[in-house]
Formats: sequence, C-alpha cells, structure tokens
Amino acid sequence: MAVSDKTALHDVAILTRAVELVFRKLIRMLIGKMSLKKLQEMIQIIFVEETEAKLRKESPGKNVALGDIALQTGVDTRTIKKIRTYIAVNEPIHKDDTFLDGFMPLFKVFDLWMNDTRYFDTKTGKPRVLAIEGEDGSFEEMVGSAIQSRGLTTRAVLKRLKEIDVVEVDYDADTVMLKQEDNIFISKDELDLLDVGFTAIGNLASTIDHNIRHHLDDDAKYFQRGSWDYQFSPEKIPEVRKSIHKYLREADKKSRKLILSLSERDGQKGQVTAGISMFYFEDDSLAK
Amino acid sequence: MAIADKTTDLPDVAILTLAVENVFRKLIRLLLGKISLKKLQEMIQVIFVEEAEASVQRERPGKNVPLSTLAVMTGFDTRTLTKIKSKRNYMKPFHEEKRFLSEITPECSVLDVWESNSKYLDVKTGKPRVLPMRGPSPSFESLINDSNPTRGVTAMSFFQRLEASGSIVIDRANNTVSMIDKRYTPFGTEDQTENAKIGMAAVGNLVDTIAHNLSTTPDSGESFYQRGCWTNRLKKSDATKLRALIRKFLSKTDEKARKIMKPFEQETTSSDQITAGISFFYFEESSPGSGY
Repeated sequence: MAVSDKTALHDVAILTRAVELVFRKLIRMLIGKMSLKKLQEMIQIIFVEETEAKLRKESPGKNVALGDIALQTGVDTRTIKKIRTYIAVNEPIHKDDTFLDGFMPLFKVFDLWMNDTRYFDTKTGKPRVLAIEGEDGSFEEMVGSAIQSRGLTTRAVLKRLKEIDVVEVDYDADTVMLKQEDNIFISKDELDLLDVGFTAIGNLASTIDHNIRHHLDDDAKYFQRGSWDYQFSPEKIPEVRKSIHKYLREADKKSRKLILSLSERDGQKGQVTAGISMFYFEDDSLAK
Repeated sequence: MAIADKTTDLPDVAILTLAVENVFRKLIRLLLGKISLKKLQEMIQVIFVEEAEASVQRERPGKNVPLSTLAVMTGFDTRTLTKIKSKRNYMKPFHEEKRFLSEITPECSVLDVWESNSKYLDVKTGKPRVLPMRGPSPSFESLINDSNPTRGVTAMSFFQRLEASGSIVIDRANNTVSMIDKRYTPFGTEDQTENAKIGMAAVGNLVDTIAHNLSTTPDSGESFYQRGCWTNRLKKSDATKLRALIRKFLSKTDEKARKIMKPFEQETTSSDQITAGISFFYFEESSPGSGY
C-alpha cells in the first residue's frame, strides 16, 4: 500500500499546521509573562512524564525503558535520565522555587525590587532608588541575583524596563527608580482570565483527545461542536455579539440546572468532574 | 458547582505556571506519538522568538529589534538567539518545510532516510531496498544510526513500532526487513487527522477569545462570552446519562444558535466580512480537578 510522497506529507502537514497555529496563539499570550527558557523546560518535563505514563498504560506492571522514551521523544537517554531525576527529586513545577525564580527574567527583577529588603525600604514601604552600577544594593547587583543567564546584561535589562515604562533613570545621579509598583507583567484580572481560560483550553484538548481515540464509536464521543458564519458585516457585529451573548447566558442557566440535577450533594471519592464550556469567537483575518 | 479553588494560596507566578502547565500537558497528551519532543521544541523555539520580535516591533514600529531585548524576553543568550534566527524555518510556516515534516517523529526519519538515501535504495528500481536486520551498512541497524543519531535508541524498538504501524514487514526466516508503506499518518486514519484539525481549530478559536478578553477591561462590556459550568460531584455511573442529556441539550442549543445567526449573514461574500460564531463542548475528568 505505497502512497505518494505528496500524500505522505499531506497528513503530517495538516497536523503541523494545526499545531503551529495553536501554539503560536498560546505563545503570543505568554510573551512578556514567561520566558522561552522556562517554557521549554516545562514542556520537556511534561513530555517525558506523559510519555512514561502512556508507555506504562500500554504495558501495565512493567518498567518503562529509557530507550522507549527516547524513541517517542527523539531525545537521547542521557537527557531523559536527567529529566527523570529532576521529576523524582523536585516538587511539582508550580511549587519548585528554582523553576519559578527564572519564570520571566524581568518578573524576578521586579519581584526582588518589591520584596527584598536590600532593594525595598520597609520604613517607607517603597522600592529604593538604586545606583545603576556598584556592589551592595545596586541595580546591577539586583539583576545579577535575579538572572543567571549568560549574555543577559544589566544594560539590556535596564533598557527593556525603560522601554516598557517601568523605571525612570536619572543619568546625572546614575540612579534608577521603579515608577510602576503594580505588577505590570500580569495583573490580578489578567491572571484570573488566564487561569480560567487555560483551564477551558485544557478541557477542550481533553475532549478532542477523547474523541480522536473513540472516533469509531459515535456514542462514546463527547459533544463538541461549533456554529459559525463567514459572512457577517463588520457594522452588524455589535448586534451579532449582543444577540449571541444573550442567548448563551440563557443556555448557561439551563445547562447549570441540567448538570445540577445529576450532581451529588456530598463530595465522595471516585466522583467524576463533568461539565460543558461555551464561548463566542470572532475572526477577522479573512477581512484583513 | 465548581472545582474548589486550590490556587488561592499560591503566588501569582505559581498560579500562572499551573495554568500554563495544565494547558500544555493536555495538548502534549494529544500529540504524543504524533510529533517528537525534539521537533515540538524546535517549533516552539522558533515561534517564541518570532512572536517576541513581532511584539517588540509593534511597540516600536520601523526600528530594529536588538538581540539583547530578545534575550531579556526569552531568557536565552544572544548567541543562541542568533542560531535560532538563522534556522531555515525562521519566519516560514513549518507545514511547508519538507525537512521538518519528514523528521516529525523518529519513525518518520527512518522511513525518510530509507527512501531518500542512495545507500538504502535499490540501484535498479530506485525503491527502498530490502535490508538485513543487523550487520554492517546498509542494514536496518545502520539505517537507525543514520536516521536517528539519538543515544540509547535501539533497532529493536523501531522494529516493533514500525511493524505495528504497518510500515515494514519483517522476514524472520531470512532476517530481513522491507518497507511496505512509507506513509506516516499522524492519527492512524485520515478521519482522525481531520478530527484533530477541526479540534485544533476550535482550540485556536478559544485561545483567540481568551486573548481578546485579556485585551479588554472587565467592565468595558467588550469581552466575549466564555464560560463553563460543571460539577465535580458526578457519580461515575451517572456519566453516561449526563452525556446523553447534554448531547441533546447542546444539539438543540446549536440549532437555535444557527437560527439566531442566520439573519445577520450577508447574502454575498465580500472581503471585509467577519467570521463569528460559538463553540461548545462537553468534558469529563476522571478525578476532580485532576488537571491541577
């Protein structure tokens, strides 16, 4: 059953395109909030954990060979050994201080400035004005404590903080002050939205995964559908939004009743989490 | 009727880490066996740097983006960034990069080298030759070394996986291997690939909605509707019943939504039109909040 090169690449290209699109959109949201270095570290750990779990499921009770993980990941066994050791020794990623420290270089600088008494004046309750260079309590020292990445200079960090309007530099006095004391990298509202939103994306990914695995059994599949139209006039869009939002709010009320009707009163072991998620979307890329 | 909030005691950075971890874990689970970690990392690295560059360019139109700024945003040193930026797929779509596609999984690389490297081709027919399982090059063993210079990967593990996927046939009496299908289908069938494509498109739409909502202020009234309702106290034996009830309910909801949208649809297509719609899905987790 030989198939032409074109066909062989076609399916892979479809998947690659879909994956690329999703990851690009996700990454776009994370720029400025998380470093690439940390994202890659996280992905490496998750990938190895999930591969191991999958292989264990395939052969219950058996040890998972490093070579089998290497085959699934394309990463050599020495690196996998290192990752496995990290997983075994450390706390979960979100509780691992070392991981969180390097989450976003600027985030850590900001965090030190607002919390470390070397850079934060507890008497005034304000971040100190720091000498740009020097040893004790300088901006240079703070950047050095926050970021241990090769080639990341104090000047580059200062330049970026100035660009995003977080600091003010006094070139005569050679000092720098933090003028934005709220966490500008991520606000509480943004964090809540990301938390709720990412949970929904995770749920959707699980539903897709489930449906792909049960693609031959319509009864086992979970409901997942979209209704949309390509031909909305931009002038009518506010009205479209209003009508659909109103409708979705009503549907939400009904769905809550439905789910509640089968929900048990008390929490017990072995219960299942189940629910629905609804959202409105727009895409003006074709219009552009 | 909501998952208990286990995140309230965590610092902001930990909450964000947990949220990112949750979504990447589910997506990676979906992609296991379809793309290798190596290739996924390659893709993410390029996309991240491209997007970081684009983001700075938006802030300062017309100006060059210094590598030092990208270093601050990515946490990578400038030498690594120069390497990433000089990759052949930088600023190019991955799905059009033949090399990337042919190496998307280790198995794919084996089949690609087998059908493209002259060492493994039959001189007369130009087709992949039948290879002895072991021994000096050209053999299946040498093919594994040539296509996957990854330490610790054995020819034996490839035999099993490629045989199971129907790509090779092993003649155990003669200790030879032949390629019978050089196709790599990520999800086994075209139908599954199509499902994955549609599913990923829905994920993309949801990400767009979240990104839109992040860009609006909560009280502006401009946020797009995005909500979920669930219980974490469903008896396992009631799951089938709930699935059926929700299927019926959401099918009706879908039908009605289409009716609501219909009057707004313009009769003819024009270039300034906007795509808009709704998406809904049912989900289940075997243990409460296991994503956390």
